Amino acid sequence: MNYLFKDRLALVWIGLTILTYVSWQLSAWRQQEIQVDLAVSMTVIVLAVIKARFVLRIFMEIGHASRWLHILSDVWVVGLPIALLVALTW
Amino acid sequence: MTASPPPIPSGYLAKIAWHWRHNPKADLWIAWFSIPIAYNIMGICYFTLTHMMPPPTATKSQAEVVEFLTSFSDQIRVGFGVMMISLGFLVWANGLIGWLIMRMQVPYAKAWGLAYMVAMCGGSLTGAYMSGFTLSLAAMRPDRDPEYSQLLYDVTYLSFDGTMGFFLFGSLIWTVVILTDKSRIFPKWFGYTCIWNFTTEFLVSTAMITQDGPFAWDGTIAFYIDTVVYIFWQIIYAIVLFYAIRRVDVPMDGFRRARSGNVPQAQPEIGASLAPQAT
Amino acid sequence: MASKSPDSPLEMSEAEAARIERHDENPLDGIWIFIVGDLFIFGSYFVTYALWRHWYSEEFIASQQVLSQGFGIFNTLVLLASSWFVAAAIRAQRAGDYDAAGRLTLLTMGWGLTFVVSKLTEWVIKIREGYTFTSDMFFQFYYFMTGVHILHVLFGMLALLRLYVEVKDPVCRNNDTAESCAAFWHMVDLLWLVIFALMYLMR
Repeated sequence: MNYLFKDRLALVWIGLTILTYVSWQLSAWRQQEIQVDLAVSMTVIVLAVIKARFVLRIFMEIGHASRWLHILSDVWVVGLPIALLVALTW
Repeated sequence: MTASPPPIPSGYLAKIAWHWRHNPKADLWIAWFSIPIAYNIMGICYFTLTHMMPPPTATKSQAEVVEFLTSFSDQIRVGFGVMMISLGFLVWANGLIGWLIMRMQVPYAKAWGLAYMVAMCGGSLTGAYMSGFTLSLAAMRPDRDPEYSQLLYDVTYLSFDGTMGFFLFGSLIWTVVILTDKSRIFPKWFGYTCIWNFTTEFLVSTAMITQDGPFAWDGTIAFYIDTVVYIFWQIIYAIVLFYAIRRVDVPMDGFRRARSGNVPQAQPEIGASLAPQAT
Repeated sequence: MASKSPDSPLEMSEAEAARIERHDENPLDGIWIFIVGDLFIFGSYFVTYALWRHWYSEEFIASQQVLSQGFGIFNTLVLLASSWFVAAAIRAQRAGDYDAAGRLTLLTMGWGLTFVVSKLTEWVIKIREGYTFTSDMFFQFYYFMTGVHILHVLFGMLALLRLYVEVKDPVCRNNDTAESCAAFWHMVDLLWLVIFALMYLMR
């Protein structure tokens, strides 16, 4: 089972778990207030796409695909929060 | 020695005539050309004349339905009239694809090919014929009892969405068949992209449940995103099919033998050397 | 690959044949074209959700309070762990340690099954409480997004099964197919990370 600790996999997994915990706490901190909090929403979304990018790069090894495909995946990572921000303030 | 057909002439019309006369895959190419022709005619009719795409809202009252049918009565009937003719072309395309699937190196290839053709027939029956008949019926006499008009209106758009149930299995068959095919007539990535089509069409089923919002039959998700993905996929599919016809081996039957001159039995299957080795 | 047959005048030139063959140049692109495309399709759903959330923000926030974040967190951790395990399985497979790869794949499937069970439990609890697809717009999106996602999870389980067969059966061992299967599973995890943020955590 030492493959679980190869290539920084365990480290990335711990990092992803910590990011999950942080975003959960951020959200729980404002749980009581029933009103829109754009700052918390956007922070949570940005944390999510950062996690997504770690999964893409290290777990999924998108580096093995052709160049245009990683560029497109990075366009998604950067574009999604921007598109969501636009949608949330439309 | 074999008697080969004359060389390809240079003139534009002469070239077409040559292909018509000697191209060993002429039948396949005619079937292929029916796809862009039929889909374009259908698309134009759907978007400009028949008001099937984008669909009007599901929340129309009886009076609004009657007004809709009265004002677009002629357009709807002309549109469906044109479309019914173009639908015939799709029979050809359907046969072509069924035949291609049957020629793949897949277990039970014949069954998969037939299943695909049946799925597509079901799709065109509900999506094109039934919706065409019911909406033309409603548009023919918009002055009938508004309750019936509304009924026909609802039947039209729901059966139009019912197509997706069939198309969904069509694209599932594509996925399975392409990914397991040893002869690699179609590229693997195309097999995976059929899953896009599968999932987006799966989501149209929400149109049966809601009347309003993004999941209704005119909603952002159930209609617009699905249609964009579908059209995009359909374009890829026509292109991929084009290359598949180029690489498929055609049997040396009487039709082809007659077209390529008196070819003796020693003639290898056309395009045989093109087929990639199974990996 | 261009045909040399002089009898068939319609053969392709070398360049044309090469262009047709090009999709085989990088065998991993097959799954990656699918994944990147799927990310964009899901992106369009996410943007649609954000628009509706913006238009009906009060309704959305009130309904969002009903969701149990515990389930959300649990599901996220399960999927993250499954991703970690399948990534390790691929490492083992590459190192030629097929027994370890098989075990890790089975464990990943165990995580996947845990996710499915936990998601269904959550649905059943919500439906018992009276929150169904037609309750309000938020729940429409909730059931829709988690439903599409679970559809992908089920496809992903099939991919994992394929990976297991790949690893166990020496005849059909193929690193590219194995990596494609694993990539599909990672995509399931990746999409959940965003869905979790949008459904459970946004304020």
